[in-house]
Amino acid sequence: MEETKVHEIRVKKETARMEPLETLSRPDAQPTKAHPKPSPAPQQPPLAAAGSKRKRNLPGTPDPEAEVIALSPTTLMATNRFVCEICNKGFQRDQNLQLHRRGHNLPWKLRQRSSKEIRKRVYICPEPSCVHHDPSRALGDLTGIKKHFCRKHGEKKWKCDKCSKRYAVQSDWKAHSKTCGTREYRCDCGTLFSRRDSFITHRAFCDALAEDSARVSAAGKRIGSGSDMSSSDMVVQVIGPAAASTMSVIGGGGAAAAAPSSPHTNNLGAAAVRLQGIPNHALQEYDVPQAPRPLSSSGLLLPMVSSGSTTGSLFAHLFSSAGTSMPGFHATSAASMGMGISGFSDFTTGVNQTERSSATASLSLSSAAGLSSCSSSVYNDGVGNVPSMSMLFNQQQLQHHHTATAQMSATALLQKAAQMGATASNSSSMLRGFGFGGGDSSSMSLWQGQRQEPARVVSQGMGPSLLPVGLGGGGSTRAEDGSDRFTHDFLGVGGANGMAAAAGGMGRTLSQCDLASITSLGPGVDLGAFFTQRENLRSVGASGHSPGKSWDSS
Amino acid sequence: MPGMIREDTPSLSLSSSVSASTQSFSSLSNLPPHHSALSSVNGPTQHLWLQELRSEERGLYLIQLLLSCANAVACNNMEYSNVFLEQLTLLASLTGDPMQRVATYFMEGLAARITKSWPGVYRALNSTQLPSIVDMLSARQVFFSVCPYLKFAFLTVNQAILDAMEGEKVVHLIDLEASDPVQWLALLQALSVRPGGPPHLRITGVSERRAVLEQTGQRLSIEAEKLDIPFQFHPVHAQLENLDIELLRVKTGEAVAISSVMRLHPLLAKDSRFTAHEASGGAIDQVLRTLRCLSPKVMVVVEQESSHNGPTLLERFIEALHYYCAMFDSLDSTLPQQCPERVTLEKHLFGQEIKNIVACEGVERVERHEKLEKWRKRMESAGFQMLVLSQPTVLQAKRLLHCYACDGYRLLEKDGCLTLCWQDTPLYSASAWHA
Repeated sequence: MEETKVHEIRVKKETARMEPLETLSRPDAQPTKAHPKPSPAPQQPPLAAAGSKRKRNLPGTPDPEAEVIALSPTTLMATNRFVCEICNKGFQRDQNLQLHRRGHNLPWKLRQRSSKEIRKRVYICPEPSCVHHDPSRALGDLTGIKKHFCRKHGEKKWKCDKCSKRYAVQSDWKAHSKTCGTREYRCDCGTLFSRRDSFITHRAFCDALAEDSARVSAAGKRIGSGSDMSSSDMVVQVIGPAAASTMSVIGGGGAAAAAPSSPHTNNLGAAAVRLQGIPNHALQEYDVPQAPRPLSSSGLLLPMVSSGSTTGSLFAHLFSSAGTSMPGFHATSAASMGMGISGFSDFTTGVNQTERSSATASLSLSSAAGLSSCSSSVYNDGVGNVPSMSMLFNQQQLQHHHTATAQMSATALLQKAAQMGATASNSSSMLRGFGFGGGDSSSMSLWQGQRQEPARVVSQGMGPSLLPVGLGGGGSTRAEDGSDRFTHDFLGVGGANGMAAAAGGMGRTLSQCDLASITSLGPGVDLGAFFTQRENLRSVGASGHSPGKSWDSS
Repeated sequence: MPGMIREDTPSLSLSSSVSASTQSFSSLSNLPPHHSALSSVNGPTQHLWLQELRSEERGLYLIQLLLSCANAVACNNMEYSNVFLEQLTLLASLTGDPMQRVATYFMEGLAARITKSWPGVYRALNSTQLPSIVDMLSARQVFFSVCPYLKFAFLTVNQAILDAMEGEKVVHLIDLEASDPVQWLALLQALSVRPGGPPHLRITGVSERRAVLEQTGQRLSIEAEKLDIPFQFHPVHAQLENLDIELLRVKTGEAVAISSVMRLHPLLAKDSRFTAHEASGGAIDQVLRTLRCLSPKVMVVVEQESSHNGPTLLERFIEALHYYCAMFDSLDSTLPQQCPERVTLEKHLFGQEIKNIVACEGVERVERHEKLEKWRKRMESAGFQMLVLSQPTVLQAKRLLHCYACDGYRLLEKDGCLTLCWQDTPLYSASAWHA
C-alpha cells in the first residue's frame, strides 16, 4: 500500500513539474527547482469539502500535491517580487500588481491572468542545514518562510527597549513590546512568567510552595490586606487556585526587590519588610495559613487550572480593582499598618502566641515586639511567678496584655448581653447581670466598697420611681416593677420639680440610677425580652431557647 | 437619711427594686456619685469612672444604653432619650473598639430620629453636612478592597452569569446599579478567555446618575477593546421604580442576564403605604414582574442578609445592632483601629445606612434590608424559579475567603444560595434565578 501511494505522489509531482513554472522573482534571480523526494505524507487532515474553512496543514507537513518552490535567500528577502511586465514596477503583493496592471489599459486577452488552476505552493528554506530545507518539511506560506528564514538564520536587528530581547522580524518585535512588562507573574521561587497559564502550571508543581506553606502554617494568622494597586498600569494578578503560598506582586517600580530576594523568609517578616519599605506601592499579600492544605491543594490545582483561567481572571480583575488607587492609604498608614499588624498579633486571641512573638520580633517595631516578647517569655515560663522586678513588670504587662486580649468583639458582647438579659428576665427583670458582667474581681472591687451603703438605702425601699426621690416627691414605693409605662409615671409621680432637678445639674448622676430603675420598668424594656424576642424571630430551630417574657412592641 | 442622701449620694435613693440582684447594679450606680459628689455638675470625674470601665463592661453598658435609648425614642420620650444620649456620648467613640464605634452611629441615628420630629431643626442642623460623593466613593473603594463582601457579590454574579451563558453567542447583561465597572471588568476578562471565544456582549446599565453611567461605559468600552470582545454599552438613565422595559432594548434571541447587587431593597421603600408584607401591587413586585418579562436566563440577586425592615423601631434597631456589630467586628479584624480609611468607610457607608434605618421612615428609608427568605418569596411570586448556584461558584467564593487571613468569614451554602457570614452572623446572601 505504502509503495503505491508513494508512487502516486511522485507521479503527481512529476506531472506538476512538466508545466513551466512561473518565475516569481526578478529576472536576474536564479530560481532552482528542487526535486521533491518521495515521502510518505505524515498525518494529513482529511481534505475538507469545498466551501468550508480552508484547511490548514500542520506546520512543516505540506500537502503532497503541492508544488515545491525553492528560492534563494536574496529572492526570499526581496521585497518587490511582483513585477509589472509593462513598466517593470515592483510590488510586494500580487493584488497590488494586478491593480496596477489595470491602469495600463491592456487588451482583454492580455489582461486576464493565465488561467491555470491555482496550485498550492510550498516553499523550502534555502539554508541547507535547516529542517525545512527538506521538501517534505516545506512551509506553505511565503510570508511564513520569509519570517522563518529571518528568525532562524537572520540577523536580529530589532531590539526591545524594555528588556534585552532581540528580534529579527519586525512583527515579532512589535508584538513583544506590546506585552513586555505589562503582565508579570512571579512565583515565590523567583521565576518570572509573562503568561498566566504557564505561571499557574508552574506554581502547581513548584517546590517552593511546599516549603513555604509549611512555614506559613507555623507562623499562624496574618492579616490579609486587600489593598489595591498604585496607578501604574500593571495589572495585579492574584492567586488562581489558592495554594498555600503567598504571592507577592510586583508593583510599578519594582521596588519590591526585597521580596524576590528572600522568597523563603518568614512570610510575616517579608510582609512587614515590604510594607515598611514600600509604602507607596500597592501590595497584595494573600495567604492561606491553614496547615493541612498545601499538598492536597496542589493536587487540586490541576483540575482547577482549566477552570482557573476563567475564574482566576474574575478574581484577578476584582483584586486589581481598577480605579482610583489609594496611595495615601499606604503612605499614611503603612506605619500604622505595621503597628497594626503587630498590635493585632498581640490581640489575637490565644493563637500561637509564641510564634507570633517571634514573628513580630522580626518586625522592627519595638514596642509591640517588646510587649509580645515579654508576654511570650512569661508564657514560656509558665505562670510561675518568680518574684523579681522584671518578672513583676512582665506580669503587669501580661496583665495588660491579658485585658487587652479580653477585648470582646461587639457580637460577643451582644450575645453576652442577651444571655444576661435572658437570665435576668426570669427575675424581676433587673439587669443584675450587669453587675455580674463586670464581675471580675478587679472591677467589682471598685464597687464592693460601696456596697454597704446601698444595702442601707435599698432597704428604704424606694421603688422604681423615675424621679429623684431624695429631692422631693417621696416616690411611690413599689415592690416590683410596675407595669406602668414610664411615660405615664414620668409626669405623674413626683411632679415637675423633680424632673427639673433631674434635668439640671443632677442630670448625669441621676442617669445611671435612672438607668437602673428604668430598665427595670415594665415589660417593654426588658433586655432579656429584647433578645429573646429576636431569637424567636430569627430562628425557630434555636435549641432550647425558652422565650422570656413576651414583649409587645411599644 | 434623706438629707444625707441628698448631699452625698442622691442617686442612691433611686436604687430601685429590693431584690438582691439590684444591689450590684446600684453599687455601680453608686460610683458616679462617689466621684461626682464633689461636683454635682458632672464632668471630668464622670469620665474617670467611665474610663475605668473595662472594654467589656463598657460594651455591655453601651448595649444597655442603646436599647434603653431606643425604647425611649420609640416612646417619644425626649427627656429620657436625652439622658441616655448624654451617657452614650461619653462612652461611644469613633475610633474605639467595635462596640464603641457601632454605638456612635446608632446613637447618632437615634438623635437624628428625635430631631426629625422638628424637620426644620433637622435640616438646618444638617445643612452643612451633606455627604459628599467623593467620600462615598472612597468609602466604597475601601470597602471593596479591604473586605470580601463586594468581591463575593461580584464573583458570584459573574460566575453565575458565566455558567448560564455557556455557549451563548450574544449576551445582554442588564445591570440594575451600574455604578461600578469593576465587576464587569472582571467579567470581560473571564469572557475573553472563555473556551468558545467571547460572545457578543451588550451591557445595559441602569442608574440615576448620568455621569456615573458615562464613566462606566467608557471604562468598559476601553477594556473590551483591549480584550477584543465585541461590546456595546447602553446607558439607561432612569429610576428603577419607573423602569420602562422598552428602554432596555432587549432584542429577541438574546440571552439576558440581570444583575442586582443590593439594588432591590430600596424599592421596598415605595411600599411604605402598605404593610411591608402584603404589598402585592407595590413597586418591587412591579419591577420584578417587568424583569421577568424579559425572560432572563439568569438573574442574580445579592442582598444584605438581615431584617431591617420591621415595622417597629425597636425591632429594626435590634436587628441592625446585631448586623452592624458583626460588620464592625469584621472590619476590626482587618484594619487597625486608628486607620482613617476605616473611619471613612464606617462613617460614610455604614453610618449612613444605620442612620437611614434608625432615623428615617417612609419613603426616605431606603435601607430596607430583608432576609433571603423574603426575597425568595418575592422572586417566586413574580414568576422566577431558583437556579442553584453551581459548584464553581461556591469554590470561587471559598477561594476568595481563603485570601483573607482572618478566619471569621464563613460561607454558608443552603438551598442553592450562598450566604457570607462573619462568625455566625449572616451578612450577605446571593441567589440566582431564571425565568
